[in-house]
Amino acid sequence: MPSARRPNGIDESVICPVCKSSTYLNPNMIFKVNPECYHKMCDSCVERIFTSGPAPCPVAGCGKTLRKNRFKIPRFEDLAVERECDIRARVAQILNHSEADFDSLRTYNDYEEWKEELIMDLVSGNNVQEWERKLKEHAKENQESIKANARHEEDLREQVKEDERVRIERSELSRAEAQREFQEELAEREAGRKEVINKILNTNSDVLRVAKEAESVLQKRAAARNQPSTANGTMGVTSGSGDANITGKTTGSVGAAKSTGFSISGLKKIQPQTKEVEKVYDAFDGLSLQFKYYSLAEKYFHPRSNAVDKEKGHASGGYLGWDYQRRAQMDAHAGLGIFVEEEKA
Amino acid sequence: MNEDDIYRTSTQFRFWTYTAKALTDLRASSNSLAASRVRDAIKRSREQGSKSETSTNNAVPEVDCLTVEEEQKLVGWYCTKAMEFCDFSEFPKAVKATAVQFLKRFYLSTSPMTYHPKQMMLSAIYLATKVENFYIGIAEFAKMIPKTTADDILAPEFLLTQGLRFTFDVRHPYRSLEGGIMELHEMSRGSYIPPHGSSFTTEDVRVGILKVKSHRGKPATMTPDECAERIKRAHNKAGDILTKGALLTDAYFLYTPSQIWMSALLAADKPLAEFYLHIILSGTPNGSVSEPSSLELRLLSLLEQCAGLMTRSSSRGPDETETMELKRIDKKLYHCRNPEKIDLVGMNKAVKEGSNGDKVDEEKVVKKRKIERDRAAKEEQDLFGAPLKK
Repeated sequence: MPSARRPNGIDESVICPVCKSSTYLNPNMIFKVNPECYHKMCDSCVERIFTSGPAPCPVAGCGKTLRKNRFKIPRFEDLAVERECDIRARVAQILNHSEADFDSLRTYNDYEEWKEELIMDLVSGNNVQEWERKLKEHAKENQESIKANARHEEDLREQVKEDERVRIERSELSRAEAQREFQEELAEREAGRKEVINKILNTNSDVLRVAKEAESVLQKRAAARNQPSTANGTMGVTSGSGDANITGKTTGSVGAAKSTGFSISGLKKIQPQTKEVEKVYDAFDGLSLQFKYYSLAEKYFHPRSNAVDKEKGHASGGYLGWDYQRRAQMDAHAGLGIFVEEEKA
Repeated sequence: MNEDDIYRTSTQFRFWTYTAKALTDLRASSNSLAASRVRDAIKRSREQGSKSETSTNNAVPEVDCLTVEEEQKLVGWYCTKAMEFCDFSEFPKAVKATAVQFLKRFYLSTSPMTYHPKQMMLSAIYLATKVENFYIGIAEFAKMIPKTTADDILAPEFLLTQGLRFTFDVRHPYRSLEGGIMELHEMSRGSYIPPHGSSFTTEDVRVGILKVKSHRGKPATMTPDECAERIKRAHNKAGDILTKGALLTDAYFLYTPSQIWMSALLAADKPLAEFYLHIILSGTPNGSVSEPSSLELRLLSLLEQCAGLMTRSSSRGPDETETMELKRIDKKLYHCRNPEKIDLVGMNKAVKEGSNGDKVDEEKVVKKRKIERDRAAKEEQDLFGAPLKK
């Protein structure tokens, strides 16, 4: 318990400033503070003074009104640190934007720096009233977005948990599957052995031959077991059939978990990408050629290039008269509408 | 994306197409740059000479450099020489045309005062044979030309490719002309497919082309055979213009290949070309059936200009006064050549030897390291190991 910790070893006792009772006499004494003034007092004092409602701080010269429900056990020995942590938590609750909310890293960093300055001012007591007022206003104005951000953060945390759960489930499943496979194989082996023994007992055929046959049957079965796992294409390993099977089976559940989203910070960016991938791939990236000055005919009257098609020498090289005609059409019209004096001026 | 956009991606359009003004400016600037370099180089060589002779003859006359027009004439002359050589050696016309264009492109950014066209010409032809897939071995190629070694041809080759900005694709209007003639034949045979968006039908075009006015403006009605004959005549005439006039003018720099071949057709058979243009532009936004669109009118005037440029030069023959003029320019060039750039073979060799020199040094270093390593290995095997380093 942090409250039972003593500053310098066991010998030194801590005294409650209110009732002057000491840890020397009562080692299980718990000290509490209130974030209003951070004056330490023992648990029994808190109970005694504040149970009947809000009361002024009993420490001499303070007199701030404190409520019992705000009292807490300080997490740090140094109360200045405790106070800074509290301020940080409070500010972070209000200014709870994440990096994804910003258009660039630069703006996010600027925001973070500004927030840090604000916190340091609050801690060191600069401009406290103005900052507090502004914070309050901000919280009021941006109630919706703050809530949304908090919800988002909560979701992220949930997803981390979900992710972990899926991972554990997956490993358990794979273990169970491996176990099952192993048991099956054992049973099969046992059955095969029994069969062989029965055969040897019932028939008077050659023992060695029977054993060989049984061996080949076993091998065939093993091969059959391995086949579906390799067909899944998850990995080329055939020795550990159980393993391969699991990966094949569990990809489905992993995919399902993915669709709800993992907890990785780049999540928001990844999701739209997967949507884009679904588009049909266009090798020319939207470029399409539209002839302005001509339409291609299927064949042209051009004795020289048409004669080429009848020559084996040209055809064997993959050359077609049509290729020449198509190119000639393009050359004849390409650049016709370019007025150099205007475009190069 | 349409045909024009495809042409816009070509290096011919991106690097080698200019407006008329940009073209003259470019030539003027490369001329003045070359002239100033020639003057500096000649000054340097004179200073070297005067040092050895210790004669103080300061009153040397200023070098008289070539003007842009003289340069153009000289390059044009060597272009015709290159064409003659290609014709004589029976190279395909693509090789001939590419060689001429290489020369013209090269002398846009350089001057004959720096590199003499006579040296560059053979290299340009040789490079053109390679570019146009008509490869001849260098030994065989050098044998075709008297008093020339393989080195003479290869030495300026890299300079040439540099001047061409390493773009070897020259788009000639020859295949384009074939494409256009194919379409004209389709029209007269009644199997032409009008462009997308055109309001003409195949039959409209077939009837239309048979009624195209004659060359002298007389209304005519032709049979399909007569029409085919007429197309063939126009084809030959346009082909002639493209192999002669088009090459020696600046048409390649100022117009696109499709405009060049259509101008040639316009020069060969004006009514036919006008009819053809009207049909192929009927698919464009304002192309209507009867009235010519604004694009068509603009294009027609452009084609007229181009046709004028090409036919003017093709009618020009090498007459007496011109050869006299060329001789004068050649004599003038003798005095204003850049003395540092005359020996191209030597320059080429120097570049290559420079790289060899480095290699020798490298070998020395490697050898030295190897000896050291061997010694270290020997000492390691000594009973008490290598001597301690101090």
